[in-house]
Amino acid sequence: MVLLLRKIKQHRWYKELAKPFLEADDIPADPFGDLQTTENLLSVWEVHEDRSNLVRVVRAVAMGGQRIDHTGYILFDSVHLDAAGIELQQNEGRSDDKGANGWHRDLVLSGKKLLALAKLLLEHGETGTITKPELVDAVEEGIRSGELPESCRKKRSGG
Amino acid sequence: MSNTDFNETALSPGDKAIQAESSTALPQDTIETSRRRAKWLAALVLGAAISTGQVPPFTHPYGRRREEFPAESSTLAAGVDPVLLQNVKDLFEKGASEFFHDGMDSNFSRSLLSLLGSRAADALSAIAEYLSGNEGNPEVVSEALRWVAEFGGPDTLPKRWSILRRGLKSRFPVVRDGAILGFAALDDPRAHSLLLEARESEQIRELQLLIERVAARLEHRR
Repeated sequence: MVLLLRKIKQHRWYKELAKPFLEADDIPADPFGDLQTTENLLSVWEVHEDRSNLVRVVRAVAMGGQRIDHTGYILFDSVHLDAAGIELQQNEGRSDDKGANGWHRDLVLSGKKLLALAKLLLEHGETGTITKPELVDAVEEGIRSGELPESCRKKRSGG
Repeated sequence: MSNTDFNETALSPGDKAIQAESSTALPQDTIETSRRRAKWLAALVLGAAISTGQVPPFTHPYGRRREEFPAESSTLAAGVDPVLLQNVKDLFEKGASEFFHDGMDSNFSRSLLSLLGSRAADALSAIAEYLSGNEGNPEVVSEALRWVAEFGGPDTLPKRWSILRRGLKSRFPVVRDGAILGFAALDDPRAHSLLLEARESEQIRELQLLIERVAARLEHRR
């Protein structure tokens, strides 16, 4: 099993609120705000089956922002991509964590596939949020261990 | 009832002003008798209505719903600069047109921080007052709670705490999400019991798990 992670704002994906849409064979529109593509590619990250690299991956994604903040994510099994005919490409990430960049992937999407992806994420995805204090600790640990460069400390303090 | 309940010293400044300015003011003893009768009649009517279940016993005097961010005390609203309150209202309304991302600044967050930077305590009072009126786009309110939590030092903590605590009771899940994350950012173990209490009434599974995650960290820090 290969798990894939996408950064989201968690409240847009509450299953309870999505349930009436799914029962009507539809989906809510809000989740699309977290599925912005560039050149028909959607950035995702691979997470180990035992989730041992989950916080490290979220940290790498969070470091792409202007400052360290609470960071929401959705996690799903890549097996569902086959049914939707979605191709997975292995493209190196560009985060500050060089060791994590090898876990970066892109989903190749069209409009129809994007819709199918949103539906499968709502049906099978698992959301969560790593809080800011947890990420601040993780950044500090990353700098100490050499996984992150010293310059990341600026984002840690919001600057 | 004491004998001084309706004497002149018990009159409000407004009552006195009306008395002084009216050329047709009634004699004081007539006013007092009339007030006693009116008060007795009002109590009788209200009591009868409550006993028959026609009105809820604790209706807000102005009939305004205040389940969102109910005012904690009457002193909160007192002294809020109306101009500042209008600025806050404008700011929150403009924010409704924005799309927020975790870890990214927005025009709303920049303006909010600027307002807090210039008028910290007063701005927090104005925000609390604004939110007490059930107003605001839930997503903007949620975003605001995340920023408000982290702004300022110990002097403004009670106000920020109060705003976040009320946010935990919002009927909008997104607002509760902002309040939980606000408490997470404070990283203050004193919020532990408050969060456990919120966990009891939380219906959204994702928010239950988020509360548990934050509470576990705070428990560990105690």
